[in-house]
Amino acid sequence: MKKKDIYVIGSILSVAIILFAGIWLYQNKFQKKTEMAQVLYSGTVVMLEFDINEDAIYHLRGDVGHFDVEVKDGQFRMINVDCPNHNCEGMGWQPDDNFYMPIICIPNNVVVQLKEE
Amino acid sequence: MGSSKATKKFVYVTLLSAMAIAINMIESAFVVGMPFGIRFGFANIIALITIELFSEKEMITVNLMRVLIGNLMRGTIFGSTFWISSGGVILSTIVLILVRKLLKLEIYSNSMLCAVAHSIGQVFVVMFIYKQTAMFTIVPILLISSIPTGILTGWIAKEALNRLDKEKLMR
Repeated sequence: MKKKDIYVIGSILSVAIILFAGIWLYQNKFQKKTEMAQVLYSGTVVMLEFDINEDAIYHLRGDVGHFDVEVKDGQFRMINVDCPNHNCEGMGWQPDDNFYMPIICIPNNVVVQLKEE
Repeated sequence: MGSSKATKKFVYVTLLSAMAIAINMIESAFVVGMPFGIRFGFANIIALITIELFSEKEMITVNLMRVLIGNLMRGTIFGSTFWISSGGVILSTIVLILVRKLLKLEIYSNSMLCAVAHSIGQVFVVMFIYKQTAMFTIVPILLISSIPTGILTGWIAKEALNRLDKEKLMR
């Protein structure tokens, strides 16, 4: 590795930090908090709407198989997903304390997200 | 001798495409459950090797073959997975060519920037298909993860290139 590589690492890290700060600021200061979440199929069709403060496990089906949405203490996550890559399970509990990210399961063609106002 | 050289090159490009597809499929089968869908991107090693051994043209062929045939074999062709991986591959191909031409960096930097472009391309396609602007939150996480994965794939590509003799291959 040469000096130039270190500069590249430095610039990637600084861009990442600036984006982190920007997103954190936006989500914590400017975005309205919402208590309702929904499961969307194909980006548009609403499969389910739920209150994130009501603990529950919802059993649903997507394109490749079944999946469960677990809701607990104001957060939701995807579990028991019947798909090859399990990326959506890796997204963990959402919304996280600091960051919120919709959970997208591409093989099943579903999105679990906070309802937009 | 001209046509024999062209045939040799054709065979190597085909072999490299086959390797890229195989690596891609093995990685997606065995490296699962990583947080935030982070991947090593080992197939990128082949792209880095191809551009150094041959030229941009061959690298574009190998990358396009990897997406087309890889998705065809997995049965996801023209589905959302296909468009997402195309987005990643197209952006990383463009970035690799530009970075190599304009910035003249080491293979590690090429590899890292390629990984960054791949993730960003995929995220933008996801944001577009699922209309999820909040998905942008994942970009900084993917940027940071591109550093170790980029260094790893760059290092493997470098080691492979040290052991490959272009003159011998084309003789």
